[in-house]
Amino acid sequence: MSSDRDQETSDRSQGPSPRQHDQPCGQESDAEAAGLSHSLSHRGVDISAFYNSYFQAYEAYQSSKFHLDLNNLGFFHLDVSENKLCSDLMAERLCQKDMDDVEDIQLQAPNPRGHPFLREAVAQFLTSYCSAPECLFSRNVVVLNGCSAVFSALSMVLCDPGDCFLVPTPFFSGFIFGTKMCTNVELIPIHLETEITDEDTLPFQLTVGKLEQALLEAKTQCKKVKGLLLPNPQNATGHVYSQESLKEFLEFAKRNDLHVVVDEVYMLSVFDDSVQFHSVLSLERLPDPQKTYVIWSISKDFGLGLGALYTPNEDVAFAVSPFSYLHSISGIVQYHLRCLLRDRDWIDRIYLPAVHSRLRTAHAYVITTLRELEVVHNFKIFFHSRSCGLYLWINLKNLLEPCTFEEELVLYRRFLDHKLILSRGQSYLLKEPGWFRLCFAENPDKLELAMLRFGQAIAEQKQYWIQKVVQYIPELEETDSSSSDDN
Amino acid sequence: MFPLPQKESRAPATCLGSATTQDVVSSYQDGLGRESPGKPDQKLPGLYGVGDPVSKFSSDSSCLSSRGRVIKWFWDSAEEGYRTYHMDEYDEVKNPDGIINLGTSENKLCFDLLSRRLSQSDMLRVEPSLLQYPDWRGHPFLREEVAKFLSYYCKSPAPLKPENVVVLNGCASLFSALATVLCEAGEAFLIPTPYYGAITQHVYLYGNVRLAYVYLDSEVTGLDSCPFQLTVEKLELALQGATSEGAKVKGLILINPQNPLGNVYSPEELQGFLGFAERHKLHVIVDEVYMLSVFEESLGYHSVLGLERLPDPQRTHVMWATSKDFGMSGLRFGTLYTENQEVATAVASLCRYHGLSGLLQSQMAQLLRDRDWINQVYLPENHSRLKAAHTYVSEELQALGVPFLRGGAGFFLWVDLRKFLRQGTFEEELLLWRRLLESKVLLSFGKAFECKEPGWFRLIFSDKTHRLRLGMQRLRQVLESKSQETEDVPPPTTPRTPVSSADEVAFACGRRLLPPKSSLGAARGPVMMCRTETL
Repeated sequence: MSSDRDQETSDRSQGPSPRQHDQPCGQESDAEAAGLSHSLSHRGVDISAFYNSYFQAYEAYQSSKFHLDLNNLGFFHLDVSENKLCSDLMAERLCQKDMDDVEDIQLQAPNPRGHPFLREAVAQFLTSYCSAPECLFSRNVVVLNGCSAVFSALSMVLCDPGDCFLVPTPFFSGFIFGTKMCTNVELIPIHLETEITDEDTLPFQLTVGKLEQALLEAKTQCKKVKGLLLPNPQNATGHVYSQESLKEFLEFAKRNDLHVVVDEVYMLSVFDDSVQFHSVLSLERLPDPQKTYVIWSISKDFGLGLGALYTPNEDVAFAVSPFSYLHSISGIVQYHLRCLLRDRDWIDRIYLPAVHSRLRTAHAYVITTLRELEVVHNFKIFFHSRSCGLYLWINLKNLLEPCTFEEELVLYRRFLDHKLILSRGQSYLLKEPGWFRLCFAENPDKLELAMLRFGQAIAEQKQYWIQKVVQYIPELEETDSSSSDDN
Repeated sequence: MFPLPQKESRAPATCLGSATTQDVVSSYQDGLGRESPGKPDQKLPGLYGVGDPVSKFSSDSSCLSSRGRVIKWFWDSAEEGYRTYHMDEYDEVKNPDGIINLGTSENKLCFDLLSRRLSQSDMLRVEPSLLQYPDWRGHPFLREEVAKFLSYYCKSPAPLKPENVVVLNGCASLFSALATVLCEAGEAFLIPTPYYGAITQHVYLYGNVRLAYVYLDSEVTGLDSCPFQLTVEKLELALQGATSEGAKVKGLILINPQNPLGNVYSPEELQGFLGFAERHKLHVIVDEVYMLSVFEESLGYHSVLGLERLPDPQRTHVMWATSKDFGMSGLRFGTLYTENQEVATAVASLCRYHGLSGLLQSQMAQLLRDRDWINQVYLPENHSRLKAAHTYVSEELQALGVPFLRGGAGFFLWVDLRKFLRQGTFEEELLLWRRLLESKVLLSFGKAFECKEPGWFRLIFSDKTHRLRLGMQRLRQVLESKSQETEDVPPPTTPRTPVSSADEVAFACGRRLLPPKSSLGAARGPVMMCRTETL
């Protein structure tokens, strides 16, 4: 996708930037030497280069993680969406007696698709938490070591090289890395964003109309669209789809003979009790069960690597099996997962309530901080505070002058200079500059420090913005932020 | 680990022409119409071949894409034996008539030691930070332990460096990742046969890389040779042959200790093979997964990392895993060691798909660090149990009059059942395999290892005595009835592959111990069971 390559080149062409001295040595040169290698194949070189440009920030973080005592200048990672809030509870649970058992089966050659005891536990878990009308069977379950692995394996068996999947934005363009490099499947973004005009604008709304349009556009470009990837809940705003909406999307897919891969990875992260999550598996009847696949992951919820695939299509479940050796989960981890999933009591009474409560608190804290910053710096931040998921998409267009991706990158780098890693909209294939993603599922102490740094960065950005504006409109000393929508 | 059978077997084909360099998926249609010649190539009889994993594929309709159907078919055929086994597993209490698995290469002898060690308190400590998204290359603490571990056990001349280590969830993933980063789609690795057949899938699934075979046979041609012996000359010829058919060979795969032969390469041989690779600018992937499972000390194992000098360190990549040496193939932990930072980085880039949980990384580091337990408890006990099991099965085979390679490393015996085939064909081999399976004993047949000669089987002995006993009993029953049939049936019209006199000698020699290292140059003899250590 050209926008990603642009970003890549623009990143590299910016010249030495403050963050570079934080990176491990040799990374820049890998990217530079992208065209030439005595050891690697062309795709090997591409893989390294792609990885470096998309995951540079992550590498920087890894090389200098923030630890309260040791490294006060380290990076805060508010980017990768993982739930750090309840690692303590999880750690405690994993040390309990039932986790001690190391049985032979855990050590033995892995059963393809995952040990039956785990698949059974996953089937029962999903039956319960997805409110499935009938019991789900373990033979329709495959477990791999993560949701990227599941999607990768699915792409291999559902698509031929060059085929396409429609994916609503925002989605992480690094996702393209895996599908392009490994499976040769093209991801076509369905652009959902609408221009933010006021606080009531609902961004990232998925409608059947937009699906139809995206499909039509793809076809006119002679793309072979094989399927649709549907995040549920909606991954940008945490919007929870109604059963009717889900049905409509599935009917659309059926009409157009598309596979539908429903990504329900954040299913347990709905922290507002008044909101009811609907899984695709809760529907009385699936329009096209043989082409419906649900991905669920435990990495987000429980911090252990598991990606589960559920599909009524046994043929596909079978075809995905060979990938289980490449994306395998350790027998010991499978055993731990089984123990966890079966412990409904602990999940319902201890873990989920704690997760939800901590997410609510963290979410509220971040919202409050953002509102305060608005007042202090006199500008509007747009966001939709839905009660689901681990992160918040905020639009900082009012601090960008002009509102372009170049300026978005400047702000991104400013956050990095303040040792804060946020995701920015361009890496998520958004068309409108100014979007940033902030993962708030972080421990209170760290979150407070992170938001402090965020505030500092914002303050700096505001000054910078003022200078820019004054540059263009010298007769004005300071512009009211509400009229800054002048791009 | 899985047999790679086609439904009807033929003599190894040299698959020619358009399939060799094109994307295999698009070439499967060639495979539909193409008949394997069943005859070796005219110019270089039976010395090489270029694999086409899907040459026998036949399409069927389903929701899957074309490549999905190929993958499914491939998997279907590969797993037939294991599926049958899983549906009827032997259990001495619950299912005494179930199938005894002497096919999966797994060390079932030391689960007790391992369970005990892994249940100790240092393994159960879980820190919250371990639960968060790990460093994709592997946590630094683990890579340091791996470097120290390999330095020690491979006897490296200089300490190995953590930055040259990458950890993934098993050697399968390492093969897949290396195939992807070293080769373009359709390119090939050279590999001596017979070899561990699962590698075909590992390099093909994502990597779309094929294998170019260096066919070895059991014929012993001189005083210094052994059956299935790899030489630099054979490598040269095979490379030449494969290249002449349009295969673009990028690397060489060596498995040391060898699977399924159970033998090891001497340092001179290793230097020779690495030198060959260096001359042709080939990468060498050395799979040393059985490195600590050399229970016959006189074999004298040498790791590639223990050589004084590597001819081409930038193209030498060594892999190891806990799955075999620590009997935990279920745990899924593999490591790559390479001085080539570009390769290490590229493989690490793929780690997110083949990652290890933080928890497992911590446990593995604990395990590898525990030198005392490994050296004083685990290895001695493991080797002693392996030796005992090996002795038992060897004696049973001798009593049956079945020739075999003695080996001394790994968990397997490479067994010669050629005389029990009515005809020397792969069809007959498969029939015998099915017959054994019906009699509730699972072995792996030679075609799954791309063995050139029909009739060889791999038998796993690393199991508890009562299972071995039952398995051998069932094997005996089948072979005895096959012998009866062979006597009753008139001699076949096609001559069987000549069996060298050395084979007949093999079992009669019994377990001849090698001369001690001090007496170099002692007679090696033509026996197919010995490897003399020369320093």
